[in-house]
Amino acid sequence: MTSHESKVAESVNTDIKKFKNDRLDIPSIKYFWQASPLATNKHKSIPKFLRSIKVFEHFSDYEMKLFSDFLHERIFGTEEVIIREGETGYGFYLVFSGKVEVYTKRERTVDGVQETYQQSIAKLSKYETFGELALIESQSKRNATVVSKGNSKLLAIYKPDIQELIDRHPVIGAKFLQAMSLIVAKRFNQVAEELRTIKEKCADLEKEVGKSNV
Amino acid sequence: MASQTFKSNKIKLAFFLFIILCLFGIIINFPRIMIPFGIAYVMALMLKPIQKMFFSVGIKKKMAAVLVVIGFAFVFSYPIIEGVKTVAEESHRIEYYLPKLETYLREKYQIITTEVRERFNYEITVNPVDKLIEFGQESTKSIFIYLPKILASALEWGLIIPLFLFFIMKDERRVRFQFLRIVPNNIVEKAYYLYHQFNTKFGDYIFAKFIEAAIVGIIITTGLIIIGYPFAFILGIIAAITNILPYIGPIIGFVPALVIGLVDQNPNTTLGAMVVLYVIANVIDLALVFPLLVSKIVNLHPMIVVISVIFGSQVGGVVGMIISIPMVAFLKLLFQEIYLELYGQG
Repeated sequence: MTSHESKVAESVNTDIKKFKNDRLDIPSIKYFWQASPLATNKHKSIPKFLRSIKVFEHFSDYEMKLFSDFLHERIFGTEEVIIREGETGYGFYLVFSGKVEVYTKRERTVDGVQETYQQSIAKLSKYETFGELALIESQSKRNATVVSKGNSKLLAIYKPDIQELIDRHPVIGAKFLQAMSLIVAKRFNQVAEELRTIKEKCADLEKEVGKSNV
Repeated sequence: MASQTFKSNKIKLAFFLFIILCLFGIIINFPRIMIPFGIAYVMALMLKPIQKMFFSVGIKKKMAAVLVVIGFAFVFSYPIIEGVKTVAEESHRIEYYLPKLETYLREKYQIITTEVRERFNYEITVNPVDKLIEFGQESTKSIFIYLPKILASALEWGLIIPLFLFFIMKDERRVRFQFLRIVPNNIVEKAYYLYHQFNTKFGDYIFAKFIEAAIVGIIITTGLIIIGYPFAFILGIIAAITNILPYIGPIIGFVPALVIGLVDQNPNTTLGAMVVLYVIANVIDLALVFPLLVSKIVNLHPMIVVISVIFGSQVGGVVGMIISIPMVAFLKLLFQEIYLELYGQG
């Protein structure tokens, strides 16, 4: 290498170093920005979470990202009531983290005195949903009380948001309503199955009673 | 644990109410910002259907907001400029009419007092004509004194309102979602639903009234031009503005036209045709426009409507009169919600 060539190479190296020093270090800034406790990574975590829920499998990644903008993050404390039986409901909830328990009011007679009590009927954890009828029905009354067990984070979508979603992104709105119908259909099938079992048990009991009478 | 949650809910509710009170404080204490902001907010509610139309053809939110603001400015600037020119010309002509009106009133007063004196032998000592003229002169003077201030505010609003309108249309949802984060869990569903209902009722009502007033104004102006009645533009605008007030508005809007017709000695002035025109315009309004546009939005008893308009005028003047009806409609909804909560579905 001649002295001229080495001088040129040196000046190029200096220029590269200078350029490196002058420009913004985007990857580092990005790292610190994402590591900051103040920065929310809603755009990343919520679509990823929704991807794991079966009824949302028809959503594309982009649709999932747009849909996540319509979700509200709600934090509930221990034993905090999320929805109450008999109240008018306007929201549908997805359990993002933590656990919730579903109760219904029952009546029983203790020592001749009739009293109402809360009976636990289900425990819901991450990726499970509740409150879908509130979005479909007008002035829908809640069928059960849902209570947070420990600290839990829920994603909620309310009735006013649905209209906005349909207006702004009709395809996503239609897909979401399709997902709601799937949830309702699933619940209906569960109820039908339980009813069938109860009927069979009743029929068996009737037969047994009939036999014993004979 | 449950009592701890209850305590934290109470603190959250107290904080939320504190923020609401602070917002009310800001609204009351900073009218210079809050009035144009309020107008922009109502305009954003009114223009929502147009924004939705843009969404349906695939235009994004920011672009839709830009197009709505530009479209609004484009559609309204030409008629406003032309309208101001015509109204200014007609106002000049009104100046010549005022002395005529004064003479007419004095003559009529003279005739009435003479008639009463001759028939009942009673002297009328009260002179309402002088007081009326004095009031008219004072009002005209105060309009001219405040005119530069009004024009300055109009200019400021002309710049600020479109800017507010753009940002409200673009960012309202983001602000709403952030605000909902501080609403306590136990009231968030209902609060959000009621807020949405209020916005929908308010926006739809103002939009419907605006369309109704425009239809009445156009019918009156066109009709008056056809029959060759003086001050067609000014009378059309007065009829449109007064039409915002239910029941009493059309009568108030008719009075100036009647006064001009009585004062004007011109044989070409067709008083009968003018009366027929006002009747037709109001029949069209009552029979077609009001049932189709407005009544579906506010389902209130006529007496409640009148009472709320009177109450609104006492509290907030003309603005109070306009906003009183959607406010009462919202209060009715709120009352229904509370009733359902306390007494159940029945």
